[in-house]
Amino acid sequence: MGNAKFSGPSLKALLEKAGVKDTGKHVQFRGLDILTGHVPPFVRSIPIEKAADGDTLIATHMNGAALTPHHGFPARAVTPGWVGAASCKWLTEITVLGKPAEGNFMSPGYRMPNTPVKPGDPAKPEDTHSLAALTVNSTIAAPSDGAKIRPTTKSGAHVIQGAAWAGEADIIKVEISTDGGDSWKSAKLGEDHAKYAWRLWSYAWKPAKSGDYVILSRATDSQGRVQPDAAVWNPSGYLNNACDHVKVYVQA
Amino acid sequence: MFKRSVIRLALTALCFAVAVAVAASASAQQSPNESLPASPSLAGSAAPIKGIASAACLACHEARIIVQQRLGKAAWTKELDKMIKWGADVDPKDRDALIDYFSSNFGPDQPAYVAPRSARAPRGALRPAIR
Repeated sequence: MGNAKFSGPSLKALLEKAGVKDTGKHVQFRGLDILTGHVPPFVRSIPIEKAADGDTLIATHMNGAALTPHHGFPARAVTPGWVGAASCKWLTEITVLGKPAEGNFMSPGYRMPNTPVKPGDPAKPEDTHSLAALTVNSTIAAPSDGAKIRPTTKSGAHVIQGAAWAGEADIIKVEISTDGGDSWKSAKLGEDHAKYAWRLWSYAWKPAKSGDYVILSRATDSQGRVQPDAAVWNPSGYLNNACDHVKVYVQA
Repeated sequence: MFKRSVIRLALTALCFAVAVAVAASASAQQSPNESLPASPSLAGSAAPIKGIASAACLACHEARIIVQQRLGKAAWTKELDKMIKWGADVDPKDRDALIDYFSSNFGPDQPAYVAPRSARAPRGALRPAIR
């Protein structure tokens, strides 16, 4: 995964120029990617409030350079803090609708149960909602899973590090466990801090002895959400934000 | 009928180049990085069903999307029939065996899916904050 800076006209400015009627409630994106077989078109829409919040972009640039084909050249939607499916690449058409777009990828696809359900049968459509903002999550970038690491040196500690993000919310805390989740200590959050962006974190670890360790990371956000031990089940596994973990061996 | 106001971006001249690039990236994404697990419940003469499932599903999906679903038989039936309708290459005589394979191996009684750790962080991917 990565973290990039996108730029281009805001969708708000574009919508103002086009003129949106009071009946406009959703904004639908269509792109050039075409699915194989008889799969229905991958077309989704976002609520007008999100589309016109000033942060949702029709991006033409990423990190200051024109978009590459892989990233959606020449223009793509960037619906920050939301699931990737809301950021349509290779845009060809933006349509203002009076209600959410129809089609498989709005319903019954790409939806979450409103309340957790037991594995087995999907929730009834009326008890689900369309995927929108991301939840709180984090990942461990180092050490690598399966790494053999040397004991603490004279220079200090091992650095456990990674990134955390929370969609439209802010990361306020990242905790690290080096004993498989029995105990937790706060990591140091990085200084770089921007809305929608990931927050880097690090933790100085001084393992007391050699052996196997399971390291976990657990983020908390400004909405009070905390990563769970196990993901909330849903048929397609969306928004899996279970605590990340790596196993390492500290050599004698 | 929706009231529509449509903004069309002037992309027609660029369609060919972009479409080529899209196809290239799509084929790269279609390489599954996991295979379906062996099926102890379908040993012997039924074992080839795993190969049939792999051929039918893994052309478009990673195995993990199947392994983690944990659907009941009715839901697997609905899912498979949807995929066949959408173009999955399934011989009609294999449909029932595939439903049995999915529901007996990837049902609600299976333990919660734990995402595998496979990717190693590239060197320098994150700059250390502690020096």
